[in-house]
Amino acid sequence: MENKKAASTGPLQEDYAYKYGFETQIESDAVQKGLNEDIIRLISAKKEEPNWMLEYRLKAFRHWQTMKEPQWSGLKYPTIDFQDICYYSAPKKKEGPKSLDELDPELIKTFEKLGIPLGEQKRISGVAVDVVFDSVSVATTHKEELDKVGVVFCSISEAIKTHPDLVKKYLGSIVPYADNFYAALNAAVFTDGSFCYIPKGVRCPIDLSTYFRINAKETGQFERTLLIADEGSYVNYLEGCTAPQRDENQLHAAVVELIALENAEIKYSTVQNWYSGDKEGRGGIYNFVTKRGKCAGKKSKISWTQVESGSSITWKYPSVILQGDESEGSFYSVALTHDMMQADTGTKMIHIGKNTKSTIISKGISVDKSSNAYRGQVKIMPSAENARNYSQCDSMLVGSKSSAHTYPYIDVKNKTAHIEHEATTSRISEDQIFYLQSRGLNMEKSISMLVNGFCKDVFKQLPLEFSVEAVKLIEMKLENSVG
Amino acid sequence: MLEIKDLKAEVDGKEILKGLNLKVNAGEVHAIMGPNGSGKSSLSKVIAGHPSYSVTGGQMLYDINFEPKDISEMDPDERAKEGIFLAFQYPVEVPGVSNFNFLMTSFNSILEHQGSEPLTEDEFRNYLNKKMNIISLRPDFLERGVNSGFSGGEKKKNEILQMAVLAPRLSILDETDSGLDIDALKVVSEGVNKIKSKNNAIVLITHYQRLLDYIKPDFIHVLYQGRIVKTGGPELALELEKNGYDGFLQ
Amino acid sequence: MNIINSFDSFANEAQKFPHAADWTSKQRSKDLLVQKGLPTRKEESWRNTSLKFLSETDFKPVSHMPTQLPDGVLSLISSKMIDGCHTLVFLNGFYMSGLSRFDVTTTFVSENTNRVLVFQGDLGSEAIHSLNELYNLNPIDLTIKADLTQPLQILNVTHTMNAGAVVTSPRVNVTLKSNKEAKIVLTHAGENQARYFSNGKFTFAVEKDARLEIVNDTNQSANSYHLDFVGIAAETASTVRYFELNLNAQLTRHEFVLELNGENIQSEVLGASYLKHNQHCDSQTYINHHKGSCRSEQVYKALLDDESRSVFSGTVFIAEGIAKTDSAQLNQNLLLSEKVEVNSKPILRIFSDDVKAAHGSTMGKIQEDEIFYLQSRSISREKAIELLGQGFLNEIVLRMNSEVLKKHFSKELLNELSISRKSQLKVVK
Repeated sequence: MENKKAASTGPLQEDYAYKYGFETQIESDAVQKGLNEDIIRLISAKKEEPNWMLEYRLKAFRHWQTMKEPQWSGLKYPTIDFQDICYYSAPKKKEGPKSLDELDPELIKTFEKLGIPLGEQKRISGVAVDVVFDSVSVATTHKEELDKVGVVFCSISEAIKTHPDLVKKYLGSIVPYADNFYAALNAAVFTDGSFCYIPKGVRCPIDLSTYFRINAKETGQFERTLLIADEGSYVNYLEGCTAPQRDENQLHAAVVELIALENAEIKYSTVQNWYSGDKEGRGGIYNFVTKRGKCAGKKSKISWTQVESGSSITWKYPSVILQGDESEGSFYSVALTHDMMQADTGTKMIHIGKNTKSTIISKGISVDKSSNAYRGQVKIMPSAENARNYSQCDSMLVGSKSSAHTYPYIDVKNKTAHIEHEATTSRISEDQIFYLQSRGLNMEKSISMLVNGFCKDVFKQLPLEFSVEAVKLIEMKLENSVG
Repeated sequence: MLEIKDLKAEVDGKEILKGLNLKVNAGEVHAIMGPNGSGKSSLSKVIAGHPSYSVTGGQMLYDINFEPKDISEMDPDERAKEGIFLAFQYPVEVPGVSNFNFLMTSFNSILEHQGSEPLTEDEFRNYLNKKMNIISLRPDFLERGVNSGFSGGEKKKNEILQMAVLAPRLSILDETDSGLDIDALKVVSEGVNKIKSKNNAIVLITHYQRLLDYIKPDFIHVLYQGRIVKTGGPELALELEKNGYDGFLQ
Repeated sequence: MNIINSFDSFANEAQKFPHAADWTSKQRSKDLLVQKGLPTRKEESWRNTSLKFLSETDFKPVSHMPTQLPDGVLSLISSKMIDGCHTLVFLNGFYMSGLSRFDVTTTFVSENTNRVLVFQGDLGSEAIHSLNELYNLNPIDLTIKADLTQPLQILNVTHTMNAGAVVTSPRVNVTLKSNKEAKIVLTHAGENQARYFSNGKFTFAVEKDARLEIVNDTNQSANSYHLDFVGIAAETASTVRYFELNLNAQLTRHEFVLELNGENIQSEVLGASYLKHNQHCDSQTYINHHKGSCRSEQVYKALLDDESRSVFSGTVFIAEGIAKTDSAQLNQNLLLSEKVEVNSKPILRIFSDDVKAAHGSTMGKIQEDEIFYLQSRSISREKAIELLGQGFLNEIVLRMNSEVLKKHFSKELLNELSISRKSQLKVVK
């Protein structure tokens, strides 16, 4: 079935609130809407997957059918009709592109507009990018450079064919398909995503990045990312996302699994800027994501940093299982909601190994009528001698109709644990605004400066370019809503 | 009373005292001076038995029942019962436990150790009232939590009051002068001078000469890099004051 | 037979006595209970506390006021009366005027106010409220019309009357009139070692400018199960101070709700628990700011020994469109033994931007520096831990305004700690 539609929004205007709201006109190859075993077989066939992969998907699907959509988060949205979603859409291609320069020019243009040049000439130096457009990975840059040190960075579809052993061993090992409703759905229908393997002792020479773009209408994006850092390796991984502006909601249900073996370190950063819906709350992405990492080996480290500024609903809890002794997990988050957005985000830190350490810094900013929740768990198992956790979850309210919620769960089963949790909620002080205004800054600028200050502890965890982008993003969002 | 021989001690695997020698007799006042990080405070904690420090070599001989005994392996409370007192540089706050209860528990532990009958609340209150003359504290002091909500000066005064109440044989005053204004310094020093006798000994650990204007030491030791590098009379303090540690250590 | 099914024989028996009970309403509560059942650990608010004990022991509801008092009841009651207080005695949920002790000239009266108070507490605990409704036969409404110079002790004593496990369901509603001041102690106690289930419900209406201090003292038999609901509805410019003390009971679960229904209310919600053996104590608190310019401060502390478990879930709600709210919440846990468990969940639900709200939660063992300080003052390590633990909890008790109560509960706490820590030392040696 072919899908060729006129753009539903006009050309990009600089002063438009959501500058990534354009749609790319490109022919796509999509399957019909709906979800059943045949669709799953079809997706698997289109991707020329081995039989074990299809079996895994079918098992997940059968389990998913027995599950109910979770209700506990208190998020408000109409019931999702899972039969009214298209589960596979890919830019139509004549022949597989041999090199990035052979990519459909429309695609290249799209990503240039998004600030992700793909062409060999223009690509961003220092960052290898895997680009996912709707359901499939369309390009990966910097391959040769990575090959030299043995780093595998490709789409997960490719990895299923080229590295079946690693995929078989680790896929679903951190987030089993039975973990939750959306993880099961993802396991059944995931279409693409990134795969990354850093071999023993390798410090990945460049940052790795995946850029997600939802383009087609009524399409769900279900990507799957698997990242394995072998003993003593290090990788810095970045993730960005955008989608066109549409009146109806679209579902994004991704699963990300990270594994850090002995002495390995993974830094995973996300700047999420899916379309968040309009002022009345129409449209926008439902961002229901399961992200989890396991510090499997001794002294391994996993750090999640996220800037959540888009999506009409965000529901995600990047977590770390601290299994290896002396392993460390951290979670740094900024979540900005405005208009009618709802965000429910946080983390879980499960301490199993001895002398494990976790840090949680969460900053929520609720503007307009939006609602922003931190929900997290720190769990100290009996085996986790001398576990340490420090959590700080601050909320800032901008606008009297906004709301902020904090739901931390702290469960301790070992007396040697040392846990400190702190949270504050406040609005920007009038004194502070007045002070800045009296120094010549306007209201919006003052607020965005104060908000950036509020988020500083998180932003400084991001790689420099990302950090600059995040600051700009927050400023732009605030100016559009506060002004 | 105390003889430290070639004492070596470490904290977190790092050697802090590297073969220290010191002899203190009853009736003497010693001052230990030295630059920051030389091991002054560590020495006081090692003598009192802080659990973070471990003695890796040498001996600390302290007279117990007129016999020198190595105290290295004794628990801190056992040492305290034998009359070793450490006035803390940073006294710990114990909110919710009243000073009265704290002092009485402490005092009776010593009596018990000496084989005497513990004092009743009334008896102890009488005893305490006499000692309260040595150093003046705010009226509601006894009912308040130990050091809780006290200013820096009040905490130091409280340490001296405890010293007066417990009547130790060997007192180590760790930077008791730090953070005190001149009036408080006088009050604290006067308190110490009242407690001083021919039967007890006092070791002052200090960074500045200032305290020594009020409490006259018999001996001054310079501690540097975990060892005592020079010992002398009161004149040594003035020399240090004039030339600083740098000039002296070259 | 389970605790719900006991209703039919209870109703038969109770109707032989002249209770002013509304049996149709009770029947309705029963039907509802049968239909919905008791909360299970699948309920979010019950995830850490199990009501399994209700199916393990057949707790019999008490159908009438005791006609004869067995030996020991009187001495039990007098030992629990606090000197310097007016004491109203409730035995197995029945008000015992002859045993009560108060100054006849004081002005609290029993009258049916028919005041309906709305509490937004734990939705998962409605069945527990129904259970109280089912088995309470002697609800009392008290109105305090003048300042109380002495604290008023409401003494809830459970006695099995040598007849096996019982469930008692006291129910007291207090109204503190405008601009009046009172200190009230809820004492929950029972026979030493007896197995019983106490499920009380206590509500307080605090009128404009009134000042109320409540101590909810759970010091039950070590084999008892204690559930209670305390709800306070506060009006404009009132002052509310609530102390929750948990010293003994096999299992304790409190549901506490404070409704700040007017502006300029000053409130403090304080808790101190000393848990040992395999005791389990669960405090669910709800502080609801419906009006602006109110202050709420909450501090809950737990000292855990042996294999005990402390559960804290505190929700602070701040309604939309209200201004100048100041709220602070702190849960602190001191862990003394290897096998203790703590579940802490401090929740903020904030719908208004003009707020200052903070919460914190800490867990850890006693700091070595603190122990060292005490040891350097001749105090043994064990004694130092005891003193520090006592100090940790006593900080809460010392915040009481009444000297009588401060003294009484400091002593009670100290006794409990030294007895328990001593017996433990013996076991170790």
